[in-house]
Amino acid sequence: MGEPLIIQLSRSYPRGPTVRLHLETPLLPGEVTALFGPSGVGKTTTLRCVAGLERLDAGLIQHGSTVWDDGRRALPPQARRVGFVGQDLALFPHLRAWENVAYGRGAGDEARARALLMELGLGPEEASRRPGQLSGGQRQRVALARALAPNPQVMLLDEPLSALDANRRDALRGLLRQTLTRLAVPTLIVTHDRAEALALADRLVVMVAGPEGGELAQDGAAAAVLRAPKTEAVARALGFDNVWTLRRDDAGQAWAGALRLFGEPGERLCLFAEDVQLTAPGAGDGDATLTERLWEGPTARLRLDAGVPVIARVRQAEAEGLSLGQRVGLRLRAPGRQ
Amino acid sequence: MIDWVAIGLSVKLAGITSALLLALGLPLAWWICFSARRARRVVEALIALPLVLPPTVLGFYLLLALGPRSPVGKLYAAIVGDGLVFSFEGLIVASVLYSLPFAVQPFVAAFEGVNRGLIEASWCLGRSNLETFWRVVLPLSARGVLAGVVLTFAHTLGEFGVVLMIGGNLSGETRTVSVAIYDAVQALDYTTAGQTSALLVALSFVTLLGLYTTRGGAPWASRS
Repeated sequence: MGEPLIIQLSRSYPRGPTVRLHLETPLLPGEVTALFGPSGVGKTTTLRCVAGLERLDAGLIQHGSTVWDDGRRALPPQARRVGFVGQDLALFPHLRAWENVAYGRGAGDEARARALLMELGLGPEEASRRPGQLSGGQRQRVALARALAPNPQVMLLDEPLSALDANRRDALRGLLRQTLTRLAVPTLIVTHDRAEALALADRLVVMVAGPEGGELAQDGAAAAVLRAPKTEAVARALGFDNVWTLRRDDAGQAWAGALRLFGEPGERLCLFAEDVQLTAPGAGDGDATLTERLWEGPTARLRLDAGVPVIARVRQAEAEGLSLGQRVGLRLRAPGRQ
Repeated sequence: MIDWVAIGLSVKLAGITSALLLALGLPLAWWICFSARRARRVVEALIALPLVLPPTVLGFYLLLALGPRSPVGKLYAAIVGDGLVFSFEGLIVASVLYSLPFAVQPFVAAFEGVNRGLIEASWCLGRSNLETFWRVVLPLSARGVLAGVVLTFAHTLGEFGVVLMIGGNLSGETRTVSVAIYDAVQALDYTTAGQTSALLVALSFVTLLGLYTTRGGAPWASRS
């Protein structure tokens, strides 16, 4: 059983936003918790406060029975034994890859550093290069190895894959997840990328912009949060394009605008644009009028009016046959419901 | 005839001043870079004062501050048995203060050029401030630190006003090369003044050439 991490955070910036977060999360070995939400809600601030790189204005950060920061006194980052990987990776440019990995207190010698790099797919030649001579993906691996080498109590990753292109990101995402699981390190990861959060995280902590600044909106098992977003803001943050509240008519049929659905009145139905399919008028769950079409390479994003706003994403060929103002049928699939 | 004793004395003074300012300036620059206190601005302004003050003004106040009737002068005399003004040791104190901005400002600029993320990464990897300084900050700012040392050396080499006010003109003790040139001109010995000046120009040029030659891309920078 891992040590719980308690974060009761309040951090204000002069003429800037406030971040408020009250979170108690068990840090189980190998479990990944994602702080997820749009930019500017304080995810990075939270991570930096946990790492000890920023002080709390008020609140508490406690790991197990050890208080890391209570707003008055704070343990320095050196005493927290966290593995921190920031967005810019911050590899030491004057040190070779293996020297970067062996830099940390308790990280071990050259042989261990090279072995760790080898596990992450970097051979002896790459291990002897300086960061400026490595590719983005290789640098990412060095940063990960460097943070893991001193056997941290907690790994803190801030958008660790954001600097990579899509292909490299996909490849490294799997390796990252495997490595964290194999080394059984509890991990807190910050991301605004839904795919990354869902691919890496066991638990999701969703942060949204509140009236006074960033705040926690929902936390729980990743699948449960995705299945049942608590609020529309959470659903939007998770990337649901369509968020409707159901109503029921006198005959007991549930509706969202002109769409016939299953569910209870007041229930929130959340769908991705990909989950809305086009059919012939009258053949689906309801009809709608096409109001806008946006080409997105091999697909097109459609905005429709079915009494409620509907967003759909269809193949380019399918969209080419449509004209603005045209009536189409809609079929909905795999709904996430509350 | 060139006053080699004065030249030797100037080089010695510049060397000692540079070494002392390296030792004093590094921690001072580190504090300036990483202190969030308002005192930082006051300290920075005080350090920069010699850049704008006439050397004679600074020399005058130093003469008062280090003179035999001042607390510092009395304390020094009680310990060493001799006065601080009109001595080589007095020259060192004056040179350190006068050249302070020429060392500290390049050091600060060099430290500020080091990515803060690297320092934070070092802390998160369990390394203390001192370890971080030696293993990350200093290697990455070595060229800036070297620039500060070289500028200090070159600046001290050509000092005149403060030197004259504090040291006077005692051969082998406080007569530096710039004072020797002044003496030669006063004596209408333009040949000696010209030769000594040319030597000083050459020495300063070689020093600065060394500084600029060591600048350029860091060996670890990306080749792409």
